[in-house]
Amino acid sequence: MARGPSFPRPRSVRIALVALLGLVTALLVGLLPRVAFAFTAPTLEGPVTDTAHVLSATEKANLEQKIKEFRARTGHEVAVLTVPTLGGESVEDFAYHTARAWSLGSEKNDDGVLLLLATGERKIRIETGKGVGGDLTDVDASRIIRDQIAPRLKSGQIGAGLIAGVDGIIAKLSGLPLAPPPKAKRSSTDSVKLIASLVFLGFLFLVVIIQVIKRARGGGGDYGGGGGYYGGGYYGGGSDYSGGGGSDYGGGSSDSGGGSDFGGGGGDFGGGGSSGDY
Amino acid sequence: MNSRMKEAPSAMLAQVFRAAWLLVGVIALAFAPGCQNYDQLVEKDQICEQKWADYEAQLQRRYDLVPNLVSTVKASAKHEADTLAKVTEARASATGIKLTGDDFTDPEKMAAFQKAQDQLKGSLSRLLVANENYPDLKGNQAFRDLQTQLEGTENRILRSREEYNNAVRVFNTELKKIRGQVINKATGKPFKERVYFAAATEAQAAPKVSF
Repeated sequence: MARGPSFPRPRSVRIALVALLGLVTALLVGLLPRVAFAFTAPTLEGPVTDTAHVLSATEKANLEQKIKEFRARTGHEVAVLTVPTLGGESVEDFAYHTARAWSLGSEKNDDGVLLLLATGERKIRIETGKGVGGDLTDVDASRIIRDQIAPRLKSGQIGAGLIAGVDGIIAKLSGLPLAPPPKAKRSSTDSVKLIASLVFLGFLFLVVIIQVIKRARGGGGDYGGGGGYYGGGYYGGGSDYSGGGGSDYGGGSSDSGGGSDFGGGGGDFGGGGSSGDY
Repeated sequence: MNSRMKEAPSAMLAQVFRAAWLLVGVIALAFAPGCQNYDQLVEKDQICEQKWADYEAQLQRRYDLVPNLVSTVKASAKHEADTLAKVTEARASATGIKLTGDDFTDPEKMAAFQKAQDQLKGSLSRLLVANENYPDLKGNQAFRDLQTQLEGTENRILRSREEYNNAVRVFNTELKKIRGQVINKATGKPFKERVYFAAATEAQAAPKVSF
């Protein structure tokens, strides 16, 4: 490719050379940015793609049922992906490029959502399409991760965490408020319970004292007056989330798997959403 | 020739007409793809414009967040007056640069624009790092929300930059093709190559591993 500028050559050769140069440049320019994004998204298996194998069959079926029911109702497409590792990508890049490769949501509305869990890096991300960013804002996504998903994952309940996450996403996209976080709820009811039992104990103490005094005076006794307190609603709080494999999740196993009609709708995302770790 | 003209002037005329039509046809055939190519250049240029507008919308989100962030931080982190002043300053100089028309083909103007944006981004991330020292702020729900919004915005800005670069790549490629060059020359060079965004420094630092 030694090209001396002074070397005389026919016009046609020069034109051909210029053309060749142009073509090579065009090719190079076309190729360069592609090389930078050498990323292969995992294969889409349906509403739930569990490549990290952290979900039980029941949990997976439950998630799939929720997602499908929600899609049938609203058209919004929510996908769940678990991976053992991000392979060196940032969780943002991984989620964004996967969501685009899967083309979640419709082209018109760009209303897909991807919930990604990377178990190796202990990272979570909710990636939102441009069309759902208004109802499910970055702050909402961050709260879902911080308050709903992360506390459950920290205690090892991966399935329950992802289910709570999808519940949160669906709630927000339906215009509903989020469920209170499990930890905060427990701690606040804890203090209420403490006060209640202190009051109760004090009351009991008083009753006993009175009875003792009465008995000492010779009056008839009726023990155990307020005994019904412990059966109250306090201890039941929050059980609708911590259940893991609870019986209310076992229901719809009618159509799991078979995700051939899932994804590919043309959503192209814009980097919306939020990330977190646990 | 003279004798032939005398023989059949009408036949000669018909022949001329036929030749003329043939010429028109050939010219039309030659130009049809050319027009198509011109239209493609216009279309791809428009896509670049649109992606740029998307990008600017995300920048606006960032501009809008800064005053809120500054006032929230001001209340809790009194020692960060200097950092805060830098953020406000960087925002002012970033909003001062607007690119239009030929600016997109001018590497210097693009570089100046990008530099102002990077400075704003840098001052914001320095502010967030400095705020790690204030437990007051870390526990502040409003601040956490602002931080989340800022993170989300930075990510969107990054994506819209990628989108813009992709659109520019498509447009520039079309323009550099031989046909694009010919059409551009024939129409008085209305199109110029657009300048790419340079990769952000942190994007370069992050290792990209394919698997």
